[in-house]
Amino acid sequence: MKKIINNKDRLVDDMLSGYIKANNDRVKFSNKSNRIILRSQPKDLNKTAVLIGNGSGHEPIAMGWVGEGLLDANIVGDIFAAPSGDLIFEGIQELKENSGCILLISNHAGDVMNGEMAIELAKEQNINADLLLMYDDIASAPRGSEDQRRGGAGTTFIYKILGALSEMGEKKDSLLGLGERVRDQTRTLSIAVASGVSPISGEKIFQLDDDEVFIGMGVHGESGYGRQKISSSKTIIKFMMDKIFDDYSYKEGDVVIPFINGSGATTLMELLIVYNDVEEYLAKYKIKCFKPLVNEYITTQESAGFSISLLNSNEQMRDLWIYPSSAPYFHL
Amino acid sequence: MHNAYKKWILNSYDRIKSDYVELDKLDQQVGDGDHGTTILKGMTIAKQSYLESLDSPLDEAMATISKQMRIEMGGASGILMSIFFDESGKVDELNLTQSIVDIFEKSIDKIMKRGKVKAGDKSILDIYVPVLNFLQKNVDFQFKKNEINDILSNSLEKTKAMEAQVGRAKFLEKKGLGFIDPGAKSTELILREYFAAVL
Repeated sequence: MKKIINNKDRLVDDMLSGYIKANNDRVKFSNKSNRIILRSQPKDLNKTAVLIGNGSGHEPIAMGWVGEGLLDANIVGDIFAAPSGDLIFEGIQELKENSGCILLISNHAGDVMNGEMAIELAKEQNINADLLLMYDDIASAPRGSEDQRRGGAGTTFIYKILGALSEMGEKKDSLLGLGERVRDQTRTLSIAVASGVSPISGEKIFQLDDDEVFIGMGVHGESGYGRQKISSSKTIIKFMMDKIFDDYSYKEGDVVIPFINGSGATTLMELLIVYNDVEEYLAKYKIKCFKPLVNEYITTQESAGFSISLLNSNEQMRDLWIYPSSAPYFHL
Repeated sequence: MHNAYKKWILNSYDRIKSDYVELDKLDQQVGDGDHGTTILKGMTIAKQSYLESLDSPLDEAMATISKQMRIEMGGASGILMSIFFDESGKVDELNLTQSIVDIFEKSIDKIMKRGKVKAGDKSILDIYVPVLNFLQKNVDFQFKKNEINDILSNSLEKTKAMEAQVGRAKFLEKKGLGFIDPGAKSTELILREYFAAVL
């Protein structure tokens, strides 16, 4: 393993310490735990708070998205492991004075179990907290079983749009409703090009031959549509976009927000070539693109690959997408 | 029961300590390759926490250990594997056999609800459930220790032929087919030490 770290057992804490020091004008640790990241300038208490707990090793998500106009808190687990329900509950308690609290949960087994436990603990304390389950990865379950799908990069649309709307003072129930609509109008498909190395085991997370790619692989190496030989961006994008179009009925005049997310070791050069081909594909169907996000945000160490996420948007979603945010690592 | 439980926790720690690299390797086939490291963290805190709780009533000690394990391990394994440790504190020395049956029943119920998992899904339940079935059939506990060990090792071996319906392995190309489940493996090791200590 070739990573610049100090001590394996402390790498998450060392990273978080560096993150807070580097961004101390915008984020801080909770007084109770150095695994809970909060905004330096808390939201008004009459507004609903939005937070998430997730495993680390996927930076900059989600700690990098704590900030005004985005997340109020992030509870950080160990590498690729959801934080415990107890710790997520501590994070919720930090926001219990807010008029409401929404815990976002990306649909992965550990995240769901611990998130549900945290919400149960919150309800026992009469805290006005609810969860919103997020899923978008079309390779992980077929049409009709959408709620079985994994949470992928397209969950970003929910973070950003609910973060913005909650900042504007919208009530919890209508935030949850919009979150569900965003989720239902989002599709994501990913491709793995090369595996990253787990900083814990020191081993590659999955195996791919040098001339192979894997379409539909999840962020931890989970399977999807299978292996194929690497080909041009246009060929790969056509394959992936055809799958997305099979899954969701787009129509002429739709306006989508595209998110091309790199997995950790994909060059911006490649990501922009991919974006070019995605926009060209959409143009053939007379579908317009609005303010795309193209960069590495949800990573798995030095994995190479990317995902395409599309939100079929309405005007409200688009306005909220471009609403200002002070989060240190969200840049439209 | 404190002496038996002390033996259980300390021996489980030793066993996991010597086998965690193998567990990590197993998890590289069906997960993200760190189950051994994670369960070692859990057993390390369990050992430490237990030694600090020797003066507490057993149920309180085990509840504390369970919570510490859940926090230290995180993920699906922390929340599910800590359940048995919590329930195990309800053991009743005067009614040992029935209380152990109850511990298994309650643990299985909680694991099923929290994990939305059932027997045959390739998970830790595929160890707990056959053990409970065996105990219920032998509620007088007039069996030899090696019989329970056989149940444990046979149940573990059976997870090889299962396709995962839960967790990350569910999404693998072959759903973990041909590999034993890493969580089932560590559970088997820990339960082996449990019965060795309490029976």
